Amino acid sequence: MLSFSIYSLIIYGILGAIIYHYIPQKYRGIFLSVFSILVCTVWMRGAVTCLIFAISVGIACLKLMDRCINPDRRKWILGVGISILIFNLLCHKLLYSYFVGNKTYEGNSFVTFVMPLGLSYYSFKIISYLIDRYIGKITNATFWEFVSYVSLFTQIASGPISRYEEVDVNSSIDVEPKLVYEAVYRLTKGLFYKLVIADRLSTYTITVMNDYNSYSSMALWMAMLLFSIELYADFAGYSEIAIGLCCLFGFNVKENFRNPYFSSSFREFWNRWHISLSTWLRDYVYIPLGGNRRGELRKAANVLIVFLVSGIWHGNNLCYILWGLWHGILNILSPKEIKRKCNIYLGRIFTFLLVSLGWLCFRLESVADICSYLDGMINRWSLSLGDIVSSIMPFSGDMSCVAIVLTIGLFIVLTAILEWNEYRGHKVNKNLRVGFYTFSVILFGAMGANGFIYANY
Amino acid sequence: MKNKRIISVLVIILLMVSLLIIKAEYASLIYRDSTYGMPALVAKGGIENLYLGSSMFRQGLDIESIENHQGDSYILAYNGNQPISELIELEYLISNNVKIKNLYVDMYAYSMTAVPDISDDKLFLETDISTKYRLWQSIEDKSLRKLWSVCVSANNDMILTAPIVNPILNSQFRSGGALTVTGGLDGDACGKLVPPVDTDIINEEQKKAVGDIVTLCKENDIEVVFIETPKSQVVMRDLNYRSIMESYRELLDDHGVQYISSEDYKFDYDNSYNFIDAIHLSYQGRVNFSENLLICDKLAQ
Repeated sequence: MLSFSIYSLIIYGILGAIIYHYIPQKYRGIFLSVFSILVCTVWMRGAVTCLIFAISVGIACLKLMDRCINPDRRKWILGVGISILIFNLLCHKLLYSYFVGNKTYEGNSFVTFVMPLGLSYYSFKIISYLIDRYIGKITNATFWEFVSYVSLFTQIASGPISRYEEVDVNSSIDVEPKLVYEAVYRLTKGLFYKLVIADRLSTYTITVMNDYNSYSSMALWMAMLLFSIELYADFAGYSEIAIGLCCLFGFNVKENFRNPYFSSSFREFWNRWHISLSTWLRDYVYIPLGGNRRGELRKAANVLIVFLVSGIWHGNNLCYILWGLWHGILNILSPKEIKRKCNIYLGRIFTFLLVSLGWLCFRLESVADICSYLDGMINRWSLSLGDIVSSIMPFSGDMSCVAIVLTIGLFIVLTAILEWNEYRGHKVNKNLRVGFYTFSVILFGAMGANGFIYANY
Repeated sequence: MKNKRIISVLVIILLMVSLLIIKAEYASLIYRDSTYGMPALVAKGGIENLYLGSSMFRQGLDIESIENHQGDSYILAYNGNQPISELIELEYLISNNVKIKNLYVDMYAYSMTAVPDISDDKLFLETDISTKYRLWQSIEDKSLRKLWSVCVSANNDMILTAPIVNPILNSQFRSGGALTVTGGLDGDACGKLVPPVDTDIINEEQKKAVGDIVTLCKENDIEVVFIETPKSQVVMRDLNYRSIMESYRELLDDHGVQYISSEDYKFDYDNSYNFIDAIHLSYQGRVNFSENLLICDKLAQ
């Protein structure tokens, strides 16, 4: 049995899709539910009980709402259901923060139970389903269709947090060459981002950030910027693979990333980064709070609340709350529109730098570490050749890692060019890209353990 | 259209396989003009004094001192080199008509306890297909991941960036010896060192390989001497290390082979600046050790 990794995700995804298309339409919901739960059991072991518990809460809530005519009572039932799910999520995050943060745990099995794979993702999926059902957006989904939506294994680890209509088994189309080709394109792109960019960069970021007090300011700046790229490549890579696998099932899942690092403002950034989460927060937190309809002050407060919720969703450590505040404040201060071209380019640079600073909250363990890291970034500048060399190549006693550094630099530049073309809306030559991604993954992919950073949230 | 696509895919696969075969057999040619490694030594055709070992030798031997005392010399060192891989490297050199007069082998204790493995992928870059196969056969980890690394992904960075990287690396070496100047450890850091291995059980395959190296040298009229490089005090005093070295000396005595151990030369083990970690010498340590080694009686013999 393959434990959770990029390879097991792809193998199970292809296997599941092949069987799925041989099953008659009316049984596909059952098959996908059972198959997803089985795969989740292999990945999560005992922690799959958490998924089953969350699904049970969702089902109970739906049944009670369906039987109830009184609108106030229906609202109350919805509120209780959402509260239980959020309470469950927060409890697990607190336990994880306490035990793992204090290093009082032993062994991975405890960690997988305390913070089950995908808890944050499927909890939000259930909440969105319940609300959509309450407001009448979803009317006729069956038990198995609901279970298959929540437990869909291709999205369980790191999203996207799809809406029900995107992965509704009734609307899945039969596989055709165009879909398979789209899936191949996304799978190769995802593997490229993950194995060629993210996993290679992690060698550098781990070396520097795990021992940041030993490195100069230059190394700390480089590690921060490269971690930004690593996080994006890891998460976007996973999303591409997840969406590609969904294509094989005949689902039309929306994009989760649209070249976010070319954004010229924070507003634009959040229209391009983790789109499924930002739209979820917009639809189920921001708009119900009043959105921008109750004045500027209330709008600013709503934005702050949304980003605080986003921070807590990622983790309840003070670092994540700080991250949420950081993005909330910068979002409030972000201009609605940038007219001058030079300001747009400056905006891109500053947005990337400020976003990268925010990612330190994800990487370092405490606020004290963040302060210490920032202090190092400012106060340990050195122009000695030895420090400059160890900043660029910190992990080898000899100079042979020059090749590794140059190669990863080349791939980052090539990826940036490809992403810039996408951002500008230029036509994408998918044939060429599939060839490039495949060639690069085979020859330069880091074939290590291959977990995903965002699977921790 | 469908057939065209299938043909394109097949052509690409064929191209990729061909590239990998060409890489496996001929990539070493890129390094024939290097200042380190096996291709450069093969291109040289012969050497009077060859120092064959691991990073202990690369970090621990000063090529300038050696060339001043002994003349024509070369240091062939790979990270984590073990007797098993050293044997295969020696066979490769001999089969490529490299004439060796004197061979000095790294008497590294921890390599004798190690499970057969290849730590340094450069070995796969610098040899031909048949030697790669022999190296692959010798190691214990024959997982799919390792096989993929050996046959497909290892060293591609080096090949891709060769025009830029080769001149940089060549400036760091001469006749295989490192020219880099590394600082040593201060007393506090030295006090925190621990021995890297905690066993004294000798691996039988490594033991056999030592015997095979000796036999191969005798068959090819090569004078062979084993050399122990200095290690930090924490290692020199480690009971496991001492036990392994005792067994190593007995093994060499059984084969009637000369060795130069730590007792045969002077070295200041108490000076922490001679080391960069528990087992590797700094530039200062390298020069001190090399000078003392080259004037010791056993080497003169």
